[in-house]
Amino acid sequence: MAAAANSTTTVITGHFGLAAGAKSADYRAPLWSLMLATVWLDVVFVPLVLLKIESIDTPPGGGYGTSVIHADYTHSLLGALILSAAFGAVAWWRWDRRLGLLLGAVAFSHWVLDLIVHRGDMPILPGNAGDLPLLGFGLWRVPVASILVEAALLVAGVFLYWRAAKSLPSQGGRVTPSLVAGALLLSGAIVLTLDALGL
Amino acid sequence: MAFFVGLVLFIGVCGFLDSRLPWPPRPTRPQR
Repeated sequence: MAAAANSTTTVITGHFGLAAGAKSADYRAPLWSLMLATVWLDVVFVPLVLLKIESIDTPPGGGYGTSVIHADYTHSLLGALILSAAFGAVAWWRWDRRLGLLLGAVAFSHWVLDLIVHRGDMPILPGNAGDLPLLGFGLWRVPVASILVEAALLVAGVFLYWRAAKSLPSQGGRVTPSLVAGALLLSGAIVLTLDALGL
Repeated sequence: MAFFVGLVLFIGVCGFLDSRLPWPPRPTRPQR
């Protein structure tokens, strides 16, 4: 077993933006399930932190991208594949094969997006077994670029969602595609701001 | 905090609003 991988936190808004866009791949997928899928690895990370199996360290003063996580299990390549497959399997069992594959793919997209920002610190095998090369392209070294990528994912994803919703037959209800898209954008702005402030 | 706020806003609030739109129904498991 090697030392725990260190990586900075964390893409949040970008994950949610991608999930919103994934709605356009299958209109039957409820948005909550896509949103849950996209942060599934982090959702599992939380109890593991409480159990002190994985951890997160924030230096004094904090700030965007300054926290260090040790997520050798949930964010290892094999761990992410297993967790994503499990999420997709439940959706497949509960709904159908197509939604299972979609939600499993959205869950694994979390690891792919994290791979872009992490600084060469994501293990291939859980616990970094075998001391294999650590992965990560390190966009976090340029926080402004990371924030812009997150914002771009949000805007693109919400646009795809909005375009899909606009194609639905109008029911004249109070909730409209534009209202939901606006809520998504506002939510993203709030979360990205909190994240950028290191909160 | 941003992560947990995101869970509430995106899954709770936006998920609820999404459910109010006339999307096609989700498939149901066949009765065995």
